[in-house]
Amino acid sequence: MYILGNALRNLIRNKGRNILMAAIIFAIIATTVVALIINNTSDAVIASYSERFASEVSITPDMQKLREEALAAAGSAEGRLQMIRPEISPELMLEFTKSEALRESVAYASLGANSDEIIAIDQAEETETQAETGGRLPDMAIFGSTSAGNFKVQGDYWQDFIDGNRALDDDGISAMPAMDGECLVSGDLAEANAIAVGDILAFSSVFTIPIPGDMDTENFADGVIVEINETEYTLSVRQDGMFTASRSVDYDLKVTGIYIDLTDEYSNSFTQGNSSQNRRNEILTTLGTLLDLRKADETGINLSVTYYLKNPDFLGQFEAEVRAMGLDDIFLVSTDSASYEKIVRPVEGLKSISITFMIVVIILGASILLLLSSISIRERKYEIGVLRAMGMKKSKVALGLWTEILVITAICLILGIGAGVAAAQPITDSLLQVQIEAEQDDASGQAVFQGAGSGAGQGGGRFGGIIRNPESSANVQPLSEMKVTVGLDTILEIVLIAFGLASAAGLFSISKITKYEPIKILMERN
Amino acid sequence: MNVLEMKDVRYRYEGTDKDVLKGISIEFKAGKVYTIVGKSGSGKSTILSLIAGLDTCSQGEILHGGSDLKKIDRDSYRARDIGVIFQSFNLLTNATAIENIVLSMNISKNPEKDKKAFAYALLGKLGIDSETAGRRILKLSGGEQQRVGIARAIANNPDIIIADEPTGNLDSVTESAILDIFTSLAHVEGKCVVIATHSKEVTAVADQVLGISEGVMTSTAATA
Repeated sequence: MYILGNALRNLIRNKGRNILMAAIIFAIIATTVVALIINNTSDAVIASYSERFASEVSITPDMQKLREEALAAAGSAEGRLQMIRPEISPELMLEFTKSEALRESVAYASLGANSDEIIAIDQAEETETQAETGGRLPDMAIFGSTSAGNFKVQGDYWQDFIDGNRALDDDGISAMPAMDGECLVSGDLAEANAIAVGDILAFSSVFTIPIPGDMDTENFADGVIVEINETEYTLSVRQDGMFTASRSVDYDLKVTGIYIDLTDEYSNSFTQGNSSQNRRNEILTTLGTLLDLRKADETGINLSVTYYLKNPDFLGQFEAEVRAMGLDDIFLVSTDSASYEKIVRPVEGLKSISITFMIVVIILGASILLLLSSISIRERKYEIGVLRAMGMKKSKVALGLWTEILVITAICLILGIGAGVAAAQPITDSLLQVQIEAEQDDASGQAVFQGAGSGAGQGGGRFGGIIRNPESSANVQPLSEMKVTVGLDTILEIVLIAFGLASAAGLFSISKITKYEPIKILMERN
Repeated sequence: MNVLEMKDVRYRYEGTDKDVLKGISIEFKAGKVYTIVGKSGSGKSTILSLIAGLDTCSQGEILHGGSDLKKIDRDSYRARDIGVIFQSFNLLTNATAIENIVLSMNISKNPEKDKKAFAYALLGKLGIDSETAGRRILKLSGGEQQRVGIARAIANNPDIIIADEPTGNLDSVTESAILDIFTSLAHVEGKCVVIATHSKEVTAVADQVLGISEGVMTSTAATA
């Protein structure tokens, strides 16, 4: 304890020497804080965009190849170019999730459904309107590859709960579905139909299947039952005269809870009044529930899978694995690295500057500190000699000197972190602007538009009959601003650097002085 | 009883081939004042630095309580068993008189509970009042610094007290007072006091005078 007291007294009574030392340490800390904040924030931004663009996989048709194949076939079609967009089966999409290259994959599905037991919100009004116009009722209408109904049954779609848009009712009995065959319903729907937790709701939907090309169509007529893949389907005639084979599927779902939806009923005004688009009509269940009744090759369920690589370097491995699983050569497997590059390049430039700056400051600062410390210790040779002559051990002399420099460093840390944090944002803005201008000079003539935080990764790698085209890198612009943040990691790093530097400088000098016998120090003095 | 014994001690500075001390053997007993006299460069201060544990001899041995100083923890020996009064005082100049003494007591792990009160009392005995005791060393006169040096040397109640030209910078009145302290430490408190000096006044109070010339003991004489 007396070592600390002695150190503090020395600090107070030798202001000139210690203020000079403190000024140097303060300058090192403040500049290193700025550099570290920029560096760490840049890292976080790059990691975030890497996650969005370079880790989220897009599986898209090779349009060039499709066009070439269509052109080759065009000779026998009187010059008409017919390009059929290829699809990936849901089975294969789910198979891809087993790839070792993936960090995670998110799969969810939806289907349209109707119920004879409950009425969807806006259903009556819609039915009336449709009846007045003599149009078809919306139930079981085939909408793309998915049947549209008054209800939308969602399988494993919990993102709204994560985002805070939906929450489980705090009625004390509501619980998330724990197994297949269980579901949640909205509070509005439950109220309108007096649905209670524990009720079993019956829904029906329609699955369709392509009619095999080799099937005998001679007896085909509206309403005829045919067997495909050992399952019976009912034929119906479409407006273009072609036949569709479909079957009705029934789901009995047990209500385990009520959810509260905090968003608007409709996502936009165009779907207003359409019960199938009303978010309160969404029945939330598990993915397994939806897929369980589906047979191979059937459509009717809209499956969406998003694949996230462990890191962007795993793209090659992922492609090799999905090719081996059966992905056709017509599909391209890619990440949106071009957009990623374009957005984060200025940030990488900024990071590079900050690292260089930090290294220079640390090396320069360490050298000055070493020199100052060495001079300071030489000045104190006599004091050290006296302490040693009094019987103080070398280790305690060193501890005392070290304590002094650590106390100075601790004070400078508090001041330096404050100053560095205050200066970090304006410096970042200024440096980033310089980087952006440099990038724009390099890429003059290229179209740019808002890009930062646009969520451009949404929908990457989603399927279910819809294959996403990758966003063009021309449609993104470099990150124009970066909000710096001071995390605990930054504070810990600066503390380590500061105390490391101070200790190194102190211990270097201490090691020089303590190797002498006290008599030599005192004789030199005398 | 011997509190300290030098046996055929030789010393030569590193990088030289000439012995500064050439086989010195002396026995120091408790309750006596010894003076070591000789010309400058004769080896007086070297003997003091060796018995103070500030340096080690090249050959021979110095025994304290039967243990060779080379083989014991000399930091601990300096802190507890011996008190040194340097010619140039060697006090911590950025500390006050009282802080110098308290620090010495802390280093030696002195069990005294109220070290500050003890130090004030000790300085008071040596004629340093509490106001002077609270001043920094550089604000004190040579005589006051010498008294602080003595107080520091005896604060931990060591067996042996050594002093190198303790009165060299003092006027005759202060010199006399300091010599009274040394004789009192030896004859009243039973310490072994070893003083290297050129001064006849100091030699006059010694129980035994040790003459040295060119590293060799030339005479040992007990005074009346």
